[in-house]
Amino acid sequence: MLTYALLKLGRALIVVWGAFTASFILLYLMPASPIELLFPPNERASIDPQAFKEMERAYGFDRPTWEQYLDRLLAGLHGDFGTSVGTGKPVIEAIGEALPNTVILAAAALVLASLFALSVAWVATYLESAWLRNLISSVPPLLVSFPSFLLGLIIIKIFSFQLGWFPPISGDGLRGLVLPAAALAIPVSGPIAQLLLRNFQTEYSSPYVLTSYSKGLRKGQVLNTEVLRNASLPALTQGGIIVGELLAGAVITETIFSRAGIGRLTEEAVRAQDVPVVQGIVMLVAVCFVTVNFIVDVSYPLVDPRLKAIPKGVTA
Amino acid sequence: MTIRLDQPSAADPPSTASGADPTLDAATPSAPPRRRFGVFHPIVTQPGLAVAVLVVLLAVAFCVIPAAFTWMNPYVPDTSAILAGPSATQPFGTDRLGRDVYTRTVYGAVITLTATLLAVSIAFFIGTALGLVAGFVRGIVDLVLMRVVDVLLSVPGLLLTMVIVSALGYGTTNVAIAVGISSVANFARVMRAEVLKVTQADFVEAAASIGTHRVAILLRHVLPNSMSSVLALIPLQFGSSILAIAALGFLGFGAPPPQPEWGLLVAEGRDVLAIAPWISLFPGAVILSVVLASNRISRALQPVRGL
Repeated sequence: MLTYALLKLGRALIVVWGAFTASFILLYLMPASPIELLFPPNERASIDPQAFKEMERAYGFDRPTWEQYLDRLLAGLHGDFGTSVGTGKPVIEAIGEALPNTVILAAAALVLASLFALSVAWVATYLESAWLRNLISSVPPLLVSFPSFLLGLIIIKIFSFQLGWFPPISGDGLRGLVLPAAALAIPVSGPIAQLLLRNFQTEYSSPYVLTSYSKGLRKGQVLNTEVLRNASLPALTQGGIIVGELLAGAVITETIFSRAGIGRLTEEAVRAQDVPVVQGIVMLVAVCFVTVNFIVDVSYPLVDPRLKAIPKGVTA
Repeated sequence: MTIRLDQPSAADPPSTASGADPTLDAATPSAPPRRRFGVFHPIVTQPGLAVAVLVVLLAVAFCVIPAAFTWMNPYVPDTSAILAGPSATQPFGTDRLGRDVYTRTVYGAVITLTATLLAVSIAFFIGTALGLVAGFVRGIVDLVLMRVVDVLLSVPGLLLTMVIVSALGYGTTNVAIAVGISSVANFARVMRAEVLKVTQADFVEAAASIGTHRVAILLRHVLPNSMSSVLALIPLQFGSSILAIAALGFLGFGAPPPQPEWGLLVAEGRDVLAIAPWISLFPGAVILSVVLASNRISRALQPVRGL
């Protein structure tokens, strides 16, 4: 078990290091002049050549690439990704300010998405009529194909402009959270629902279901007590991807609802080509992804005892 | 029960080949089992798939000959018809400059779908090549390439695309390249898995034992036999690339404003959503139907891999 966990941890660290290296190459080496990117776009035309040279020296861009890379890597290990070009704030601070808003949004969306995906899968398995079952089963593919920005606009149109139930611009508090959470939850629930639906159908056709029926349980009971647990556990393995989807989806949702958070920060940083902030966000997302995956990998054998024997056999 | 969703379509031809003949030999008349399988009438049995193919064909036609579908100009403003609602002559209504939204959507297909094609080709060629090399060469090359794929997968598609765009700069081509690079990992993974499977096959071993050169084995035996599942991934990538390109267009990183790129069309209607919802909703519905259609086709092509 310990070797298994260490192996997973090693892979996780490699991915994080890889993400740092890739973002360094992409953001600091690829642009013709990273210095220019460090100026706000409107001032770039009027950079004094003298100041340019000084900036180059101050930021260390005149040194060899590997030296710059090592410097940034060391700083990055301490959580220092430089300062934002637009606001002059340290990147870590800007992310820290935006993060709580997004965590609340993402958590609310995750709860909604899981409940929605579970009910779709449950209902699609429970219904006796093949016609209705097919109808419900076609919901997840529809969700996957739905452009999230269109969904946000439709939600605003209906619930803010037509019905007037919620404000179109997300403020603080619960009332401002409902619409963005729903707009983020629906696209995220698509892939989860697809996975759950497949699992429900696989599990439902297993022999133990027949046994339960023969013991006199009804369909609802069988689904709730047996199928639900077996079918939904594998969804945990998608944890990292789902967290990534939530963070990526937040870019669109927070932009549409004018809500402060990581998504808006990303959108603004990309718009201003604010390289340090972009790199900070990449690292945040990669670390989140890797952490969730690591937790899932390590805890999964504990949750599902059937798997306990396998990793031991494989790694030992 | 399990395969009910996926069974139609791709599973059909083989299932008749293997399924119908035994029933025939089992002393039943030829007609009933055939009709039961109904493979000779795919349009009747799968109206959804037929519609999906039609939608994609229509979108491609928009892209190739936009002028055949509309006689109006997508760029010229018309002050006499500002924010006019949908009508018989202007089915999608007009925008705030009086331009016909339907015409702009038709011409937008040229931009969005060309960008999508570029994105999918980049992802396909680079991804397939990486997967092929990783799966065939194995060893340290495989290890390194797969960690690169892991890194690409650790940042979700849209964010990765935005990061690449912030390095490359704005514009449709850059967005297409970014979307392509961020989906390389999908193709690489599937291709590698497939190559690993094919390399185990007897005919590869046979080819190696008669002294065929490794490169020849790779190109003549492994490559053609591992292409099918990567090819089936294309429609799925096509759908998600349209979504990604439109999303970036919506955020304003893609084509610059006068152009009728699909995501940009939706964004243009954003601040007049309360009074003129058609500006956003109709182009949005077009994006939705094309993505839905290509996802439906991809589901038909890959019966096992549904997600």
